[in-house]
Formats: sequence, structure tokens, C-alpha cells
Amino acid sequence: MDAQLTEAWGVAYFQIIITLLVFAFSIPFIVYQISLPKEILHIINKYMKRSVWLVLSIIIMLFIFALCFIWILHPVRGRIATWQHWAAGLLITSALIFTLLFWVRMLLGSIKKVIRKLEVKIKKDIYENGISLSQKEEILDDLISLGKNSDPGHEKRLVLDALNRLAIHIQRNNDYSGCELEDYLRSFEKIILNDIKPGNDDNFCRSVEILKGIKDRFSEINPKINTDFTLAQTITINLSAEAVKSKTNITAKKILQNVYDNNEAVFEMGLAALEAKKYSIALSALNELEALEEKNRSNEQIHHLLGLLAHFRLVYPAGKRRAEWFLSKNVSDFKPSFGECVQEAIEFFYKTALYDTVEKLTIMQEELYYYTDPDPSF
Amino acid sequence: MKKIKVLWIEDGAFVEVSKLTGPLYTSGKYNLVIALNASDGIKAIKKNEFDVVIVDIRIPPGSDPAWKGVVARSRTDKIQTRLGLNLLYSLLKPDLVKEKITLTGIPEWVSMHPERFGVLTVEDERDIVEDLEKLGLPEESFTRKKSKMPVTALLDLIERIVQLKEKSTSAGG
Repeated sequence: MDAQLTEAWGVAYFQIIITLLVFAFSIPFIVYQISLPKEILHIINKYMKRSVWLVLSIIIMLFIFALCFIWILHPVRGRIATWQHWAAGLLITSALIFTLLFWVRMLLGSIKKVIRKLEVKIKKDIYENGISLSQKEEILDDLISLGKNSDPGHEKRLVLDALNRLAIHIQRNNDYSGCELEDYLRSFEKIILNDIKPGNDDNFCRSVEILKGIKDRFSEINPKINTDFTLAQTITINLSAEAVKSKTNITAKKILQNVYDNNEAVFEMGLAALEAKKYSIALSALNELEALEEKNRSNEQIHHLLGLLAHFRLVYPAGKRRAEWFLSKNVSDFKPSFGECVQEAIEFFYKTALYDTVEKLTIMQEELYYYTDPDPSF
Repeated sequence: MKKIKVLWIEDGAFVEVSKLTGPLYTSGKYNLVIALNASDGIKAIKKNEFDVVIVDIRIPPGSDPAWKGVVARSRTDKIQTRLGLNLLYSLLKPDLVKEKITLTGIPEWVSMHPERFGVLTVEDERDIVEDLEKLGLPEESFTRKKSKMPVTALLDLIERIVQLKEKSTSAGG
């Protein structure tokens, strides 16, 4: 006689199923909660709620299905398992494995999904409400917060690439007037230069590339105002100088290749390199500033060139030799005269409160008095 | 004094052969632009006129799908594909190139001044002498990269090419 399905049997089976499902849910969830910072979790949970409910519903349905299937089976003593036993066992095992894998996969990809979601939301808002920030400030803040708290490397890169796509989208909008990217631009410093999770070498290079792209698009679009251009320049300068101080020489040199047209960034990189005793980078920066075809004393690049030369002159005899070699070959190219260019540079750096450079230029002016004479006799 | 503008297409420029740039910068005579792959090299050539262009034979394709396609079709890696040669052929002798890439927007100075081009590569000269002849590049425009090459190797190569360029200018004038 076949054994009957009893309440005890049913309860035991039910308990086993629940226990297994709880493990299938909770282990990845606990790992997930522990592994991500709470600032990121907060944002992910905010934007992933619907997905979570959807997944839960599917899981509950599968669970019910499995349970119903099991109810058909009866505990049998001594009989060989029939195909129903095997099928039920396979179904339950598959449902549990599927739950575990699906949950893990969903959680692992959640940062990428949320970034994508935020990007889509901002673009949708731009379509509905225009490019001004007011409606989408909160969403942008969440995106920036994700970037700030993400791990350096791949995760930060995802956010940077999203910001790049948004910047391109806004710049190509007909209503773009040249000042709507302020918050997007300021986010680069928050994401890359924060003390807790600064960007890695790749993040620095990528940020400088993106900022260059934003500036380059100005010449195509030609908007009325150039606030975003100026801000992109300033942030490039900050990132470039920091790259020299805290990143590898390779990264600094790659960035230098990208910022060659930003003479202030090149100057700051040169200064930072001299301070850090990274002389090959400083020399590369000096070469970029030296590559001028016409030297006009009102040109800011001249001020930066003379400023960096002044610093070089006071870095060991080797630096002095290199700086004075350049000056000996090029002094007559400074218009109207080398002396007047040096004086202009001193005024420029005095006004911008770079007193260290003022001091060094003054020393250069005094020591190279024969160069500053309007009629040099050499 | 106007600086001589040099383009160096070399993926190891910041790493294994970075020491070669020191003498250039120290001399103060050169404005060096570095491209790390074929795509960036072509972009730089379209944007600026260079007095000297030095190309490595073994370079990666970069982001341009046309160059990536060449590597993919060869079913090998950058070492076997020798993309630098393909780049030189595409610029100087497009009719002779096996894996044809149609380059648009290449400025006139490239075809008018092939003497500005040089090769700095690990290949032995014997392995690429035929290609150098087809490209019209003389012996002086080739230097082999070796582990104990002098740190002035790049500078010396550039100076030889500059002299060749000056000879060619005075012969033409």
C-alpha cells in the first residue's frame, strides 16, 4: 500500500523549499549589501525598485509552481523513482539555481543599469523640458554621486562616458548657448579629485579627453557665450596638474599630448613636474610652450613660456643651461623686445598672485640684463 | 628660431622607448607630437604639416574601424600585421598597398615630400629593404630599434631626415 500524503510530510517539504529559496535570495543580497558603499546602494535601490519587484514576482510564481508540482508526488517506501519524481526534482533544482544566478547577475550589473537609466532619464527630460538644469538637477546629482563613490577604473569610467554622451547631446541641441554644461563640468572634479575614491590613471586620461572634446565642439557650434569653454579649460588645468603630482609619468605625458593647446595647463604641468622633480615631464612641457612661431608680448603663452623658463633657470645648473640655451637662440624673436616681454610677464603673474613666478622672473630679469637691453650687443 | 615639427607614430613612446625623447627635448630644436597608433597618426597628419614623420612598423590600429579591419582580416596581431608599413604605403604609394585603405583628406605635403618620412622599428633592415625601396625611402631614413641602442637614436634619425629634406629642397630649387 502506498504511503499517504500527510500534514507532517507536507510541512517538511514546504519548510525545505522555503529554506532553500531564502538561501537563494539572501546570500547574494547580503554580499551585495556588504560590498557596495551605502551612498551607491541608496541610489541603486531608488532606481531599481520596479525591477526588484518584477524579479520577486517571477520568483514567487516559480515557487508556487514548484510547490504545486511537489504536491502531486507522494512519499513512497521501496518504490523506484518514477519520471514524475525526477521531473519534480529537476524543476525544483532548476528554479532554485535560476533564482540564484538571476539575482546575482542582476545585482552585479546594477551599477551599469542605473547609470544607463539615469542617462536616459536626463535625455528624456531634455526632450520634454529643454536643456536647462532645473528639472533634472536631482537626477544629475545622483549620477555624480554614483561617480564619486564608485571604484576607480571601470565603474568611474562608466559614469564619465555617460557624462560625455550627455554633454555631446546638450551641445548639439539647438538651444545650447554655451553655458548649460556648468554642473556637468564641475562633476569631473568631484568624481576624479575626491579624497576618498580618486580616479585612477585611465580615469584621468579619459576626463581630459572628454573635456578636450567639449572645447573642440565650440569651434563647430560657435555659441554666443563661452562660459563652458572657460570652465572646461580651468578643470583641465586642475586635472592635468594633479595628474603630474599623483599619477604615473606615462599618464602625465599622455595628458600633456592632449592639452598642448592649453598653455596655462602646460605651464601648470611644467611647474608641478619641477616641484615633483619629474624633470622629463617638465622638459616636455617647456618644449610645448617653446613651439611658437610668432612671439607677441600680449600673448598669454609668452608669459607662461617666460615663467616656466624662469623656473627652469633656478633648477640646478642643468635647468639653467637648457633655459639659457633657448633664450640665446630666440631672444630676438620676442617682440617688441625681450625685456618688455619679461616685464609684461611679471605684471601678468603679479596680477594672478603667482608670486613665486614673479620672484623668479625678476631674478631672470636682473641676471640677464644684457638680454633686456633694447639693443643687445651680443 | 622656428622649431622643427616632428610626428612620431610609436605605441611605446611613453614606455619602452620613452628615453629617446629626452635628447629631442633637451636640444630645444624640435616640437614633438606623439601618436600611439595608426588612427591617431593619420589624424595628426591631417591636422598639421610636419617636417619629419617617424613611423614604427609594429603599431596598433587605434579606434578607426578601417585600421581595425586590416588587423582583423589578417587574423594575426599588430606584430604580424605590420600596420606601420601599410600606413606608409597608404600615404606614399597607395597603388602598391595590398590591404587597401582609402585615406581621405590627406594634405598635399605628404605626397610632395616623401623624403620627410622615416622608419624606426625592431625589424632588421634586410626584412623590409624591399618595402623601403618601393616606398622610395633611402637607407638613411631607417634606424633599427635595439635593446642597447644609443639614447640619441631618434634624434640622429631625425637629423638625417632633416638633412635629406634640405638636400631635396636645394636640388629642387
